[in-house]
Amino acid sequence: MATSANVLTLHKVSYKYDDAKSFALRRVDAAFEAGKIYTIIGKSGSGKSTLLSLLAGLDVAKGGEILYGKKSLKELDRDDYRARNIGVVFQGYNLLTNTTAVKNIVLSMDISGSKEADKKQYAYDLLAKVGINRETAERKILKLSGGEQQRVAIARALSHEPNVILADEPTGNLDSETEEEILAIFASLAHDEGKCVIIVTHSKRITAIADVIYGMNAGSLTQMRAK
Amino acid sequence: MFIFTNAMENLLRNKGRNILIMTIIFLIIATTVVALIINNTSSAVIEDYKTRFSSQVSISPDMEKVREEAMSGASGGMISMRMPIIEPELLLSFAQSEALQRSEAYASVSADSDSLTAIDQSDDEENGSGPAGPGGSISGSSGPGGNVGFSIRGAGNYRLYGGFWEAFNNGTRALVDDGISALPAADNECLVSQELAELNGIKVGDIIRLQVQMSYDIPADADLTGYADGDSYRINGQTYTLNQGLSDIFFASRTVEVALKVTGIYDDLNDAYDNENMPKMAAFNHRNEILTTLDTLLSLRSTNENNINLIVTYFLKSPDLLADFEAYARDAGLSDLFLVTTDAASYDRIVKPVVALKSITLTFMIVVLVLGAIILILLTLIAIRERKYEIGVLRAMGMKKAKVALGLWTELLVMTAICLVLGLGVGALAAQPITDVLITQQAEAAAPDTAGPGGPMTTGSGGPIGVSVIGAPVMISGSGAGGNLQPLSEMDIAIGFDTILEIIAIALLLATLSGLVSTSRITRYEPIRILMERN
Ligand SMILES: Nc1ncnc2c1ncn2[C@@H]1O[C@H](COP(=O)(O)OP(=O)(O)OP(=O)(O)O)[C@@H](O)[C@H]1O
Ligand SMILES: [Mg+2]
Repeated sequence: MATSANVLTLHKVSYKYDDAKSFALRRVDAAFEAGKIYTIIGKSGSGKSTLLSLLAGLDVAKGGEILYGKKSLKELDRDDYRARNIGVVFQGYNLLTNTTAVKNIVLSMDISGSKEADKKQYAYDLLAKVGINRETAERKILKLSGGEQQRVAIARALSHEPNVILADEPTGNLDSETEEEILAIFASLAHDEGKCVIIVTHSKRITAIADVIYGMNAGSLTQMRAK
Repeated sequence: MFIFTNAMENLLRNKGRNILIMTIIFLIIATTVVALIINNTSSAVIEDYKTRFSSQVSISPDMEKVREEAMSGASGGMISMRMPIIEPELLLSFAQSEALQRSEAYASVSADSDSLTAIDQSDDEENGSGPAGPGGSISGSSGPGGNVGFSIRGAGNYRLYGGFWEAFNNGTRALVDDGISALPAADNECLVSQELAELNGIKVGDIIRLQVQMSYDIPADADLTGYADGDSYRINGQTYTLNQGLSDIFFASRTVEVALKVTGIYDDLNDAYDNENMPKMAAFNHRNEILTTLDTLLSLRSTNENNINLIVTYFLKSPDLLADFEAYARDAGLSDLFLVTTDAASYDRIVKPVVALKSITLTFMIVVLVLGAIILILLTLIAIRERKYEIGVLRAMGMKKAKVALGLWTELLVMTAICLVLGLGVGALAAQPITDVLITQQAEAAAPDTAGPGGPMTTGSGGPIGVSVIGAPVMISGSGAGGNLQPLSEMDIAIGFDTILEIIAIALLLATLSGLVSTSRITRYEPIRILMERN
């Protein structure tokens, strides 16, 4: 299954939280290619967010292995990997709440070592793309609605132009019109720019545009449909 | 760079928390600044006194040994205690020691004049009671215990100084501005005080005549059987008149006529008397001091005469050369009846309040630093816990642990720098008043034990501390302020460059300490846990 086109490859990946009794992930095998949209569906608590966290390099698998290209994440500098190669839209957004939307994005660009000349302008443009205007961009995250925060989180995930985009319920707080706009962005990123987009979702709209659908059940992952 | 700007923004964002931390840091720094300033100034003062006192050597009779000597030589139930004598040439020769930086010498002797009137000369005293007969007064001043070697002389209305120019150097005495006054350039020349000159109509160029009673120290083994009170006694080519003292002991004295040419008149800023309590007697009045050269004065003396008070102060190149100097002096012939010492006791007494002040502030500083550090660490721990999520987000965004730590450290450093400036300013302002209060207390605490047992043991002169005495009676030589043996009760505070460097180091240390605490925390925080816990 692991071909050279695979961006991320999982080999029998298992994971258990330190203080948990059972495994959050059990021997997960999967492969993610560039230029495709993947969705992962499954019940609450089945391990979807845990899988995304491992793909994002927030921790390493307790068993098995995750390869980025041909390199094991265990051997990579996972800070750099997160900063440059991966863009994550966390389920809880994980934005710096007491600073502005635009500063969140600029900081992310700073951390990734972005060479962008005018980072602030770039951030405004990016925020405009997900429907955040300049005035909203200058507001503190705490003073934004859930949907606005979600869109800032999406913008931040894209800000350093990563190869892989991991999104955990990225449209859960959005109205259907905005959701369509976001989906268009994801689709374009995958199909036009050749990025690998992995989305955890319950949204029918997203599964509809997905190239591959995985189902997560009690820590086990199974491929349900491929186009 | 963005770490720095981000840190600055964080500082402004969390004003409440940061003001709390800064208040603590400020208090630590301000109190440490005060303590450090006082401590460093105290050290400087102590060091200064130490080098001054412990490099000033004095040679003085070893009273223990003198007493032992007297006891062993006691015959027929009579104990006669004799002060040992050092010949002036010997005393002056010690100045050649390699261990010395320099030495100072001056001498004085009590004198009378049958042609002059002294200031405050008492009416019932005949002017120039002359060569003392049996009725001649016994010198009013006596040595420790008042029982050692009386010498008999005239009223001693004048004090003739040789080589005593210190007051001219320190500016308390100066030649009057009459165009002709000059310091003595040759032997047998002298200066007189303005007051004495006016009283007696002395002008520059005049010759004044003095009589000096020289007393011969009769050796213990001298056989004086057959001699009676008033007899002549010839020895060393000099003729002395014998006087029988209270316990049948003979004293031998002779009168030396001195003629001195006045080369100048001096103006004296010092008070006429050392203090209010002095009896208003000519002998104690500084205006009756006649100043000539050391050689002139020493030339009056013949072998074994004991009433010229020669004071030589030796200044060591460094305090630890005392042993070298003593070895030199012993080799040169200094008898072991003399002690070679630095004036540690005076030094101790003077600096006692400062030493106390130093230890108080040092203890205080350590307590403040330890307590402050503990509070700061606790505060940092709380702050870090509050910022756990923020740290998790930064780590999730790919910021390395070291950079997160650097950011937090930068915040602390900037806060510390601000507190440093404020603390230095406030501390520097507060240091002087605090010192004033503390040192006054310490000086008062140190003062009561000034009255030593058995009367004043210090030699009369308050000027040079190292006093060497020839002859038994310690004369009140009154060479100026006698008050500088008091414990220090004032200290001028100054912020030195050292102090600033030290406080910067301490501040850096504090910032680093709490920085390390945060770093060790960050290392334990795994972003996945922080972020998942929040979800
Ligand atoms: N920090 C943690 N410590 C211990 N157990 C955890 C931790 N985070 C999650 N778990 C457990 O791991 C399992 C998988 O959780 P995960 O968050 O991956 O589920 P999920 O599929 O994302 O659910 P949801 O759809 O509700 O977001 C759950 O049983 C959860 O209770
Ligand atoms: Mg989840």
